[in-house]
Amino acid sequence: MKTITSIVAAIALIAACGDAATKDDPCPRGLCTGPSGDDGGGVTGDGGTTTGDGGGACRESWGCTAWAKNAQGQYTRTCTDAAMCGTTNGKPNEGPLSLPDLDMDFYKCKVEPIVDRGCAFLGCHGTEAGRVYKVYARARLRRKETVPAMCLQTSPQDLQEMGSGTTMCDGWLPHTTGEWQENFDNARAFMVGVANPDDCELLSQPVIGGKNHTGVHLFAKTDADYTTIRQWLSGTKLGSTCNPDPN
Amino acid sequence: MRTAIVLGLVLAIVASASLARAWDGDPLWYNPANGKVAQPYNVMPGGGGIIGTGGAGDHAVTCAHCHIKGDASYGTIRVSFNPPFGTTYMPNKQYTVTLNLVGEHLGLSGCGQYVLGNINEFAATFETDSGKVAGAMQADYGSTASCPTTPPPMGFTGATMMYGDCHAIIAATVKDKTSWTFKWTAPPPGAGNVTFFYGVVDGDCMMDSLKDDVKVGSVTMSEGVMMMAPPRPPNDPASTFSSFSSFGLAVPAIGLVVALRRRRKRG
Repeated sequence: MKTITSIVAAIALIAACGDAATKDDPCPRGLCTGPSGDDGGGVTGDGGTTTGDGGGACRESWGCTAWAKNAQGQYTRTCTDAAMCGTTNGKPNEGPLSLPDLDMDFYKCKVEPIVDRGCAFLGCHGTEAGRVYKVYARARLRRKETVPAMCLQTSPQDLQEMGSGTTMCDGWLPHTTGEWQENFDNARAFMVGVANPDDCELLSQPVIGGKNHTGVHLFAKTDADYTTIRQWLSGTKLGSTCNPDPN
Repeated sequence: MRTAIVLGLVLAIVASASLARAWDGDPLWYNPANGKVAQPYNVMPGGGGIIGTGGAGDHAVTCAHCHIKGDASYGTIRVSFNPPFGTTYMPNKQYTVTLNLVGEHLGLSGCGQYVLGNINEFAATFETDSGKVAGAMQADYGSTASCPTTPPPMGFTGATMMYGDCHAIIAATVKDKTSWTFKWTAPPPGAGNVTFFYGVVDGDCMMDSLKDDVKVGSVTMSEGVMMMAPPRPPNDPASTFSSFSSFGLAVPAIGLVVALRRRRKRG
């Protein structure tokens, strides 16, 4: 009997010491969600989704240049598929189009802090490749441009090279004018062709209960962050000049 | 003279930078992401309270969302736990958890003179299925029960910390650390499943969050069945996941023994 009891106890112990419901690293190659994020959001032209798999084997990975204003006052940009699939199922809108006339001061002082915190991670929207929505932020991705020497450097530096992913030296610099403008344009572009801000992917992707967004959901519809972004997308103005320095 | 002061300040900034870890200083975890914080870390942008455990408290954001690897040869570190996580936890029981970074291969040599050295990090939390913090964690600095609003003071020598909203436990800045120990008291009966979310970063010597090695994961445990058993002191070696897991399975095991006995008698 003693032997049986020992065996049973041993079996119980082995079973109990086995692996629990363990989920392993979802980011085996670093960029956790792939270039487009499996967000299930579909292809909506100017939205946050860059995938256009369409059931095919090749997965499109679109990245775009900054919006540039042409002589007619319209905005254009150039988007390229890093995966070179040869398809355009998920190709973002390149314009020409008119970007919504939203308030830059409101964006700087109220919206930017939200997207800096929740969107600008280097493995998310803080990347140049494969994302239509791109955010430049301190300590995260910095823009490709030349800035004055910092720290022990003696000559002008490449901000993106020297300042990305760190709070130190070049990464510590406040947002540049170019970074502000690109961040502002990239965000307001989500409202192109959208009547209701709630349907804008800047909100419908990260909201709890919204699109898949690789499982990353930052706020509920009742949260202040949602309300703030919604106000901005609705055209609310700050009413004063935002002085965001030093961010 | 002025040049010397400026140079000195610059050197101080560079020298005080910790490398390839989450933030250049313990306070930055909860600094606003856009900076603008008062002294002593004036204008330093931080994490805004997102620790990167991968749990709901961090919006499913993990360490790997910031510490991007970008190199196929990376991804070799592993994490082991002592005690190993079982399939169940026992309500109200206090566990001592040691998390080990296995296979460290970055920052072991070649760090420059202006760097703190080889800094690795971890972040972890326990959550219920509804995404709330499950039970209570206790770090070397701070705990769920007594959550400091401010980070550890300068000179803190512990290995783990909690502050801010205390939804996660974080590694403090300690050189050459690959093992962290903390306590977790399981929630009362009725909490249901608990998931342990974790992330570990093997930092290199660069002053950024690029090309570190990262391991993130989660372990889900079901609520164990309370048994009639003599109380054990909190630090009793039996207060482990594995033992309590076996304890949780003791019910069917005892049932099996009884059945075998009866069968034997009949035989």
